[in-house]
Amino acid sequence: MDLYCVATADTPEIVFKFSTNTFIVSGEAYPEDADKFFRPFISQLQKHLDAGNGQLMVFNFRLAYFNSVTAKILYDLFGRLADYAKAYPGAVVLNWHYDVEDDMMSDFGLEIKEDYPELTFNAVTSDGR
Amino acid sequence: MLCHLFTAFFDVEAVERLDFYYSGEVSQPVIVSMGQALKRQLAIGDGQGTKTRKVFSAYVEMLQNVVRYAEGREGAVIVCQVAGEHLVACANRVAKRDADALKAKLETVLAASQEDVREAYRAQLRQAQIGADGGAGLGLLTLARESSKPMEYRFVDQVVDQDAAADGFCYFLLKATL
Repeated sequence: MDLYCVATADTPEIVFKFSTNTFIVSGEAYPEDADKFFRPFISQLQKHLDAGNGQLMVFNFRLAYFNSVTAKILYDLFGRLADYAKAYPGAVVLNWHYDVEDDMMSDFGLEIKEDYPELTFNAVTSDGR
Repeated sequence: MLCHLFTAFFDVEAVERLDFYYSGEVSQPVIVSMGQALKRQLAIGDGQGTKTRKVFSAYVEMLQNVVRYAEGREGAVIVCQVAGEHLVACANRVAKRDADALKAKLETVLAASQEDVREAYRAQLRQAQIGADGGAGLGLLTLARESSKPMEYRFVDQVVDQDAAADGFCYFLLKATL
């Protein structure tokens, strides 16, 4: 079953296509209770990872803004992906899209790359328009 | 109204541009809808780039802290420019018994170098558990990380209005320069 969630002002669009192993998180993320918002997506994803046997999974993150609690949840998610990529080297591609002017998003991407070397990390810039 | 508390940080006359001001009940829907107005005011996405995003980030972190911790979920926030710098400041009521713990947290963050702040931020992100405090430490580290100068804070005892005159409370003020 695929998961889809439409964006709101404070929550991102989420498209988890388990059928094709493609995943998108896009928009802004600063809900009041980020843990509660993301939990169903992460728990479904974890089941999918547990059942995976090395298929390539491609994640596209295109976040304009997220708050501190969401940052922590993203790190938890990347940790899960890194565990899968430890078992199956090269099996997770993480495309981190950000506005070229946004040095905070750029820095965060670099930190992901350093903290989770198991992930195939690509920084993708746009001009923000 | 809590607005006059901000004079602890700067004179009203010194404000060159007032982008946004609010005093009252704070909830997530209020943060979101005012946030849309603030963004328009700051013209995010109109070539202003990182600075306005940092201002918006400071606004969200401060007001979400008010929702989590402030007595009565009431607070005030100001976004303005003083001496060419973008300032975001908030004020809210806290119990005096909580002030020391909050002060200790702030002093730790303020004493840290920018590099130490970055390291502490990453260390908190890597910790598996979401803190029982809902991540307030991480919120302060995020503010410190994005600030161009050390943050300033005050605890103010003065009675602001009759409702707030109850014993055992004080006002907490925090200012970030972006």
